[in-house]
Amino acid sequence: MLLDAGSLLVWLVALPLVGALALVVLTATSMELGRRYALTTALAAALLTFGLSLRLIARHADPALVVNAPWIPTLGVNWHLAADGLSLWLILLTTLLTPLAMLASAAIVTRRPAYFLLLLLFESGLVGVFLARDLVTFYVFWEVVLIPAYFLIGMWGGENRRAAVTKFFLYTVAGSLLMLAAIIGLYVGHGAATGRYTFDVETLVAARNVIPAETRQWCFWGFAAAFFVKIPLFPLHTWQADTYAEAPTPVAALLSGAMSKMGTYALVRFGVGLFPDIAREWATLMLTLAVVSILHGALAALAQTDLKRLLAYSSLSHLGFVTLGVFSFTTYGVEGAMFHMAAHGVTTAALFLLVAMLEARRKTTALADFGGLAGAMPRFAFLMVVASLASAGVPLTNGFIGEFLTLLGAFTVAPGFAVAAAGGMILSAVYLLTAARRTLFGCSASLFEAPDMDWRETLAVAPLVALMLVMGVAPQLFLRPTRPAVPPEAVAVSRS
Amino acid sequence: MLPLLVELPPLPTLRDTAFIMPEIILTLFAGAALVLDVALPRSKKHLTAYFSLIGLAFVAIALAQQVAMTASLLPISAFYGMLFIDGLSVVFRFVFIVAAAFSILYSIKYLEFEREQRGEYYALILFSTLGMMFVATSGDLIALFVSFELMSLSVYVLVGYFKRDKRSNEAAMKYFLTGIFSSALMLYGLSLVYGVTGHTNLGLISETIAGYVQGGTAESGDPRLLLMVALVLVAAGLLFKIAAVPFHMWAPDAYEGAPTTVTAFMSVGPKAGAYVLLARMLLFALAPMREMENLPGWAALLAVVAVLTMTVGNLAAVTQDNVKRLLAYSSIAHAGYILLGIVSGTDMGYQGVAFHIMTYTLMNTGVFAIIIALHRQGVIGENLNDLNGLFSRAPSAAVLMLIFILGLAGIPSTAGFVGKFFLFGSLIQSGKPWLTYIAIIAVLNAVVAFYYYARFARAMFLNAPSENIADASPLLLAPSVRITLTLSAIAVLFFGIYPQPLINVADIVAQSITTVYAQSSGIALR
Amino acid sequence: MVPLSWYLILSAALFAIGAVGVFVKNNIISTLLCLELMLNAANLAFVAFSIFQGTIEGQLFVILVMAVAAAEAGVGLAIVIALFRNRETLDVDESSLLKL
Repeated sequence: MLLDAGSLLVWLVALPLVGALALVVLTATSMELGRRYALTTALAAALLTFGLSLRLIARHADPALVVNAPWIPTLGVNWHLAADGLSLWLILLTTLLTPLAMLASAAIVTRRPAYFLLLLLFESGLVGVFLARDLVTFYVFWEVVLIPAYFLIGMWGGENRRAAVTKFFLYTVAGSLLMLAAIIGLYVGHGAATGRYTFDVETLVAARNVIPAETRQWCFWGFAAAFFVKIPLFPLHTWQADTYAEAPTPVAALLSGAMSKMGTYALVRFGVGLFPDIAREWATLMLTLAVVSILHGALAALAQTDLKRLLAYSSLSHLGFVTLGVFSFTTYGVEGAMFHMAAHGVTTAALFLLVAMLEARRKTTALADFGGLAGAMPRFAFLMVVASLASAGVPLTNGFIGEFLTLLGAFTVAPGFAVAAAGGMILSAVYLLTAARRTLFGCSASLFEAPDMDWRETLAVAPLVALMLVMGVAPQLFLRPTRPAVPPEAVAVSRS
Repeated sequence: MLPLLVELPPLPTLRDTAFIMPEIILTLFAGAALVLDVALPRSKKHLTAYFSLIGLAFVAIALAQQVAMTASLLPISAFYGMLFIDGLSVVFRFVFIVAAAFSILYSIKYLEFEREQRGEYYALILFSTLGMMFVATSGDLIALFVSFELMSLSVYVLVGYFKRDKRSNEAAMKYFLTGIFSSALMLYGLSLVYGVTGHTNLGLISETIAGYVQGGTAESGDPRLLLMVALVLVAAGLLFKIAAVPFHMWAPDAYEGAPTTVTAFMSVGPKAGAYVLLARMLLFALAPMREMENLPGWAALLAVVAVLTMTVGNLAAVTQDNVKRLLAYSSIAHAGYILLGIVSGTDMGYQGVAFHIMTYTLMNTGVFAIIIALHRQGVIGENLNDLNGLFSRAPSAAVLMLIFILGLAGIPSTAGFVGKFFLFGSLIQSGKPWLTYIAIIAVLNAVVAFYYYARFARAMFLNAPSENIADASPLLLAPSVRITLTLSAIAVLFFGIYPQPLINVADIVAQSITTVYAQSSGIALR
Repeated sequence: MVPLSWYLILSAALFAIGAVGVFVKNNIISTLLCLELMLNAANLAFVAFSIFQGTIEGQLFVILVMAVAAAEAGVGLAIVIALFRNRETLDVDESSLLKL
């Protein structure tokens, strides 16, 4: 069957690639034809992938939901994909955001087929990262994500895109090569101890204690370097604001909505899964870094005059909460972190897409250039306000649940950190609502005359805003599938 | 004193001749290409190229007959041990044929454009290939030296092929002088090896040296000291050939000055030939000297050279603006990576060496083919800026180039990644701490390499086309070149995603190195 | 009878003179001569070893090396002539189109 449990996973990765291939064929036969159908094809592929990933909800507990076939037998590399509660929401998030970002890409006018092709590659790579259960498979997808990101930012980005993208590229590559060294280190350490050379995560997790402690210590930092760059976490965050600001805004939505989750997701699955003892040993340092990220991000966001940079720093701050939850090693904290990943993905992507619509109308994202939009664009104003509230963590929105749970988790083990982090939550309300007030209400209503969102733009954002409310009102719906998948190593203080 | 009467062994049989059938065919075609050049009128000279390609096809078919022989993994000796056929020689002769065929294919239009279309060019490539093929099958110092010189001499002429171009002259001269110098160093080292062991047969040399290294009896002094001198001389000669630091200075000049098609050829074909020579000498004849008591073996020596080579190559490449010089330094860096596999001394390392050389051949000729195509369109194509905006001028060429560049950089999902994975992994796998540190240095080197390879991507995709390009017409590749390039690019991606078939081929090479060479002292190749 | 070591010392001396000459001579023809000297130093060593060990391979090697050296001289002089036609000088130091 083409749609049995295992091949469902393969199709999730392959379908965007098929779409990309279709784009190549279309543009090869006729550039005009390609232009016209590029969006349709790409959108179809992305929507189909989303449809497939919806099936995951129904089947996520299915033990058959796994593909495990020899890939490079000489090295013991397996093509091992599996989906569980940890990856479930992130895959849905990725496959949902990609078509929405495509819808919101009206401002992209040059080389559209290539743009959509790269978006599809990006989607495929991300889904692969969230599914991979073999370290080499994981690493390959992890790096593959970087290539479309590089070109998406570099070819369609803003004024300083070249410098920004080079910085982004070098940071990420340095991190991931260290991770590669760590992967090989684990592989060799495990092989030397047991005689079985494998990259399989489950095997390595089960047999982690046979690997010499010193090797594991080194390997942990190799992994951590890659993840912390990707999240990003203070002090490895300096690429982030430039990259998000220079990226085309729909791409920025994907970068902050989906790509940054690669880091946090991998931190839970691989960082904590493979090295629970070492991670716990360094928990205080990690909690400190998380709190510094939260506060630094929030304070920097307060000072921004550009909407995209503001959202970039807000991302830094929010992902700090995720890290905080993970390193609290409590059930609440880890579940909250998982929830907040999805929540932040939905919210920040919505905000970026809304900014993209402003940018399409006005060719600028500077806060000072806007004001009084609520009159001209009521629909836009409504969605913007809800998204801002959700991002600020107001009760009944998804942001509240995620931040509340992570804080709760952190409070039980480290009250001081939790209190400091809560300060970040308050600051986030300040900068987000200030930004919303200054763009939407302000005094100079006549400054800005523009058409309200058309149906396509509404379609791009409305589902996300709806999701924010659903997630905020019925969090159990989303927490329940995650719970059994939380690795036992990640939780020291059980809810009992 | 010489014995006056030597008992003559039986004459070579047809069986021996069958083993060199590919080489016989190649010799005939190379000679015929020269004759054909005289016979053809000026406007038809390019037919020699197609004739040479047909010749290579026949050689490949003849060589395919020998594939079955490698299944036994034991070397088969011919001509009294002068030649022998093993997995390594069969696999690498295919690599040489592919390198030669690609170079010829990419040269046709280029030489037309330069008004230098002459049959001797193709004949020289074939003769050089002949030399490489004999390097791969030689089991004796004499055959090894002579065939290596045949290969090198042909390339010296090719580098100076544009007689009226001062840069080509100069490159040829520099390449020639350093080449002969390194040959002389190596030859002197070989004479010492012969003096100490009394043999020129690789297997017997290995056997004798193994005896010395294990503390065999020596009447006068420690023969190991003389062997060390010989080793250093031979190694210096070999390192010259593969352009390893500190013997690398000729490479950028020769690469820059030579006709671009010749640069493409020499960066893969003769380079691979030199690696084979290195493997034959260090992993076979001098294999017992890898590590010695009280004395540094060649493994330590080579490790230092490998680290220097990749570091210097990568750092120097960062500041280059000339594409050919940049690729020369990148090729120096790759030589360093490949040496790592030899240093590690594990199966995985040898697999990596073979895998990386095979895929490097595809990727490097691909990159050069695009640069050659740029040249034809009135763009000199030697400066990185000339690639600016290539994507908007010639999307398919830019995408192909990108795939090759990503491969060279070693991005996952390209074949270049798998090669590097094996090479770096073998260091960690060897379990020696100092090799692990080298692996970390290698990883840091890869980051530097990403930076300058990204400059290609940046120029082609991110930058706007330069104003000063003489010919703004879209870049067109000849259909045959386009197909070859597309197939190479697909191969680079395919073997990046599903490398197992090529790993199996690389494993044949690794097996013929480890199993056969480990027992080399037991196998008299006579 | 002349002992082996004498031959070897002579051969090493010739080799060293050749090697030094390659670096200090500016004229390409002189450089070529020095390279020939190095090859012939190796040849001398081969012949000496061959005689003293009573094996024939060394002498075979020498004959083939002489043939190779002749071919090298042919190629080398051809390159020198091409260079001279274009530049009118044989001074190595004047060749600087390619930066080092």
